[in-house]
Amino acid sequence: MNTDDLIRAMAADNRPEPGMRATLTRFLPPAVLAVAAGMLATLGIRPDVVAALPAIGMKLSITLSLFAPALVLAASGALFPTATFSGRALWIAPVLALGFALADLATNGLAGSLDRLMGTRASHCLALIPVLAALPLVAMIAAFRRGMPERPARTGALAGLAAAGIGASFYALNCAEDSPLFVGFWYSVASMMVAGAGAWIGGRVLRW
Amino acid sequence: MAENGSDVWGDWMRLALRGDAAAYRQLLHALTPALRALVRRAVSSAGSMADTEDIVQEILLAVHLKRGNWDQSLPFRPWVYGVARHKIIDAHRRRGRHVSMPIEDIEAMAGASVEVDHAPPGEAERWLNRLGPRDQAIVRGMAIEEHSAAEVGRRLDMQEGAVRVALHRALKKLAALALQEGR
Repeated sequence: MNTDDLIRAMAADNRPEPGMRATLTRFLPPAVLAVAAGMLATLGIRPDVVAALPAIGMKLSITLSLFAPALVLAASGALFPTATFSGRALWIAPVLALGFALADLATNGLAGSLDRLMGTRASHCLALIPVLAALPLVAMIAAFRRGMPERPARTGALAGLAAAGIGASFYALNCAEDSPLFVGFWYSVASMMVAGAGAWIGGRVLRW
Repeated sequence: MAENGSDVWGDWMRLALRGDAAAYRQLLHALTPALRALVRRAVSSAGSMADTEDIVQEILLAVHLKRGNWDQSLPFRPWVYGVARHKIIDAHRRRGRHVSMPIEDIEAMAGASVEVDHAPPGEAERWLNRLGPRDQAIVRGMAIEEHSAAEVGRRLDMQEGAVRVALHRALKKLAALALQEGR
């Protein structure tokens, strides 16, 4: 099989696979909808949702500002030639979380801050954010496999952060821990777990 | 001359993406000598003994499998060079060398095409030998001039559509085997 033979075989295979962008648009929304449906069917939304709107808003502002830049960065890194977006947008979420935490300390003081940070349901949070993030992560990795990521582990980690943003956004609708200290700490730990998983998977399956 | 006209490559690829197999074949035949020249220069400037034709075949496979990602509103040539650069760097990495290669260097290395009388074998033969017998028969059958999927299907007792699907999967497997090499 010399190169000319290979060319003839390739020319016979004349239906190109859809690119990464088209695949992502096809895979990610159904994955998010499936998580939404599964979440409503099992965990449900917290009963005091109206009273808790400020807390939910605080959480969503953090989780969605993690999701959007991470997705844009992951997708642009999986395309070629790589569009250069600044990674600085990834700092929005941690800076917001830190801001809310400092505001909490300023209002409520240091006393009892460790209890507020530890909360009562940290393990619930650590387990459910990755569970809710899993399907979106799989959808993104599957789409990025059609792409051409120059740094597979990095793209996988960014996909993990974006997926964690989705998972944490849904979890925020159920989570009854409203201290910004809790959210800033445990949501971050859960997101780093998902990012780590994404980096590990990406390093293995996103090479091309 | 085709090799100087990036637009020609792009035009062929646009036609190919709309299903024009003749334009696609023309494009691949035009790309190959240009890629040979590029890879030879890149390999010798990195002082490596990596085999040129292996890398050329890997680049062609990547162009083939990833062509759905090329944005048709952009010029095609930089996209191909980007793929080539990725594959050259990766081939060196798999041989335990680190090379860095700015994209401008790759474009500067592109020069006169290297034409050869008989295309050298490269590693595709070895990768192919690791596929299952049916996949091998399909790729080899389709590699023969003027052999249609229908004919190959008849010999293997398969539907034409199934032959096309199997061919596509087999080419993906070839690319994956190339990637595993030396790991």
